[in-house]
Amino acid sequence: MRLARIRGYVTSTVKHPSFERCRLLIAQPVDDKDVPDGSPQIVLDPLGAAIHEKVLLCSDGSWARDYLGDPRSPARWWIMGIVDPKGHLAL
Amino acid sequence: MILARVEGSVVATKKNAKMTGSKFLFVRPLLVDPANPANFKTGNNTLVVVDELGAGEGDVVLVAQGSSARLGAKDKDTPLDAVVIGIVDTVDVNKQIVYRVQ
Amino acid sequence: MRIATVIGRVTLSVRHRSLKGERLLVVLPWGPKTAITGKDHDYSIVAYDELGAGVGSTVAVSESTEATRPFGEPTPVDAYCAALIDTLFYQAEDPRPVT
Repeated sequence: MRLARIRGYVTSTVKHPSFERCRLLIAQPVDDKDVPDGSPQIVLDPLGAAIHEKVLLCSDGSWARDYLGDPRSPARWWIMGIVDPKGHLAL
Repeated sequence: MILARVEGSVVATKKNAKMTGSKFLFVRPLLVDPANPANFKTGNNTLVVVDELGAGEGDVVLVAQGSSARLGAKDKDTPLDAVVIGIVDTVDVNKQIVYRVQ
Repeated sequence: MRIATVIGRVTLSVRHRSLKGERLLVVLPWGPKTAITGKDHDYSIVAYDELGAGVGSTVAVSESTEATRPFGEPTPVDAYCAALIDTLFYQAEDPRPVT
């Protein structure tokens, strides 16, 4: 799992059929100081995260396929939790 | 997948029993440089890949890596993390052919 | 899935037995700064495409094992073009951060 910030969204008409009626957000993985770390990812949003919220990303593709109801979906990253405003305590 | 140029081969007589009969190639990744698309940038790291297609030295090959690579083996239990899935004919960047097999 | 810009195509002369009629794209995945600067991409990769993306398109590329999922038979593919992106909204910083 990774910490990330939601920084935007994408829309797409031509896509894998498993992504029909599904919100795709752009999540930028961040390190403990909120500095971007690695490429932004397009993620599934089962919880309804808002822009700039800090979230927990999970890379469990098997859960993503169950959620989309398609065993042939190429989905991987999804939002597992929305971090509370002061919920991330860096030690 | 990545593009890579075959720089040599690797022979290992003593190896995992599942790998018997596999040919290993020594390859160097070729990266497309957006600033200068006409020439490839060569990667700093080299890797060893399994080849079933018969690529030779100097060829540009398409390499699949990670757990996906294992699906390229005939036997699902073969320990494999990089496999040649194609010998490249042409590479075309911004509608200009930057590589064509000789 | 990573966001990537399509810059070219690859054709094969010899292919793995699981591939037939494949369409392969050379793509530049976006790095953390690309959405703002338009450059600073990650190094190029080759992605399998079934949707018909052209040079200049922005696509979502699924990587790793998940890239093999859309195929019925075991296919060694580690990057798969999963969506053609029509619109993309990106804001690098929160204009009104919660303090």
